[in-house]
Amino acid sequence: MTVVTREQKRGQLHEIEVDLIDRNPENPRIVFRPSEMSQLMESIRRHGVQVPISVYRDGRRYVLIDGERRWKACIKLNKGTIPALVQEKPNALTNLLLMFNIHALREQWDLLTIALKLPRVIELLRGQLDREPNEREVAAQTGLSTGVIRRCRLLIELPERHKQTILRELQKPKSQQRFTEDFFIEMERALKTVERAMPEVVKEFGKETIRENLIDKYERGVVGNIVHFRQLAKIARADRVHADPKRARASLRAAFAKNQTSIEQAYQQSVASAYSERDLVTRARSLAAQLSEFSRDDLDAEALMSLQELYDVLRSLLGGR
Amino acid sequence: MYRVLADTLQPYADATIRYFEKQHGVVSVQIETEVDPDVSFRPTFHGKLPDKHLLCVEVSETPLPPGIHEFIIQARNQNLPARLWVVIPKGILPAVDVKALGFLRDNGVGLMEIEDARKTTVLSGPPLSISLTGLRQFRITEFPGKYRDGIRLAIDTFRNGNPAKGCSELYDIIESLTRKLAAKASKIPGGVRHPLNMDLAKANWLPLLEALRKEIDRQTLGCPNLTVQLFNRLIALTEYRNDTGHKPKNLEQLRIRDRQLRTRFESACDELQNLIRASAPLRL
Repeated sequence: MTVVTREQKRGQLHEIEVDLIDRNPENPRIVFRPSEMSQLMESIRRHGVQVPISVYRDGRRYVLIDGERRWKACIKLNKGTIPALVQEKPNALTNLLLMFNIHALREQWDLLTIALKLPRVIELLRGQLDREPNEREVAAQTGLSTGVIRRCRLLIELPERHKQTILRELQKPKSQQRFTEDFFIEMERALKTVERAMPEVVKEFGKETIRENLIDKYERGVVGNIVHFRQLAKIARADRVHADPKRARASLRAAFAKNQTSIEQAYQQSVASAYSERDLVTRARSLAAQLSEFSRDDLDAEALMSLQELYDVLRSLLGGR
Repeated sequence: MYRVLADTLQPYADATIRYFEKQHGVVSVQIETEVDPDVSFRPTFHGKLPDKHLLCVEVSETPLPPGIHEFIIQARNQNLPARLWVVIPKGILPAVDVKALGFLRDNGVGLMEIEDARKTTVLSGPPLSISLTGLRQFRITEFPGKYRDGIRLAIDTFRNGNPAKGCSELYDIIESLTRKLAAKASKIPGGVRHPLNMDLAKANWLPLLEALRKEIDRQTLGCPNLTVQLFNRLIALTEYRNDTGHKPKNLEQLRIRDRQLRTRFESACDELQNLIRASAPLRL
């Protein structure tokens, strides 16, 4: 049996038997959606493998660095060999970082798959640096942005069963996914804010019960959109807009309980008008600052007419003051 | 060990293997390996059935997994005596997918839902041997009504795993028609040049056909297409009339037998149609 049919120098192109290649156990990618595999299989069936995979040699076999989907498609299509670049065997950290960097520059993985592997990267980096790596260092090494790392951390901290829910959803085509990574990220972000600003409300229910109730409300359509979770954070920070904290707490309780109260209703009943008022003040100050930069001669007839209309509204609102 | 199958489907694939080993006596199970060098698809697993057929199983979340169409076509072209199942985890199908079920049924592919090795539901099946389902599509409506049931039965027998009997049923129809032809021709003055000195109902088929080839007067009968060549082709069929053959001992023998029987069946069907058309003026 020919292991490598076109023996060349290391780091160059080889045709390797697909059955001599093993999956890289460190590959963060664990979800391969059937619909995407199907497209790739069709492409390889028609045009062959256009981009070689990357592997390193491990004894008489090879281990994947990049190209697991192409390799899987070739196995399924009963292709005898696959074009591959054979690289030097990397150390554990380089092996993992290579895969992160390849994908950070090319195709974005599902966030949860990155999240599940991130603790391993941090552990290996800790060993290399002899201290806890900071967020920037992790970002620089993996090629991920700090924003992505923060989102990953929210997913890492989720209880196991919710991670399993996301994994199950990730197997579906994107359009059919419901309890997505974004759903949990939005919910967790909001709960973190509530936990900081009004910890007693979270304590009263228990964080997991709140999660369950919110998931249930989303499933029943009581919570219509995942961005509504942001309103929970706004309610919790009622003090920022001088809204009644008592009412805010009561609204949060209603939103967290197993009932028909939507997040939007809780928001309207507690802090909506206070936020609108703050928004109005901010806009009024901005407009006043802008107007002070003009003299009457700078404005044309249309602008003057608009300002006159504004003046009339303001005079009526302020009662002649 | 699975290399391609999604992690979520692997427990179902394991349960499916246990089911087929226990219930169907499958041996030599291989996971995601080559079935045939000329078939560009590796099913989730395949093994050997006691009747020497290959069992191919694709575990999937959809009744029509990617690559399954090509697998069927190539396996058919290679005369692969394989029975193919698509196995899906229970509860995945939101509703009965009529189109998918139709495709699987037409191509003799089995569809099964599995919960664990003891809880399975066959949605379509059992599967037929792919080498036999490759039988050419015949338009039954092109045959006169009185022959349709017999031909349909022969095709079903062939496709359902008894190709020798399917051929035999078809030969029965042809033989019966030639005996009717001989009887009618004998009754029409000048229909045969010399009397056919044999029991037309019981004589062996070969001498009867040889006598018809020699004695029939197609001018008098008004059947110009009852040619010597047609009778020669019918005579050629008699060689296989009672040839049930030996039981295949391995996959290769099974493959060769299926290929031969498929050719014989298709050829016999064509000759039946030719004979019906040629003898149509006699209103047999």
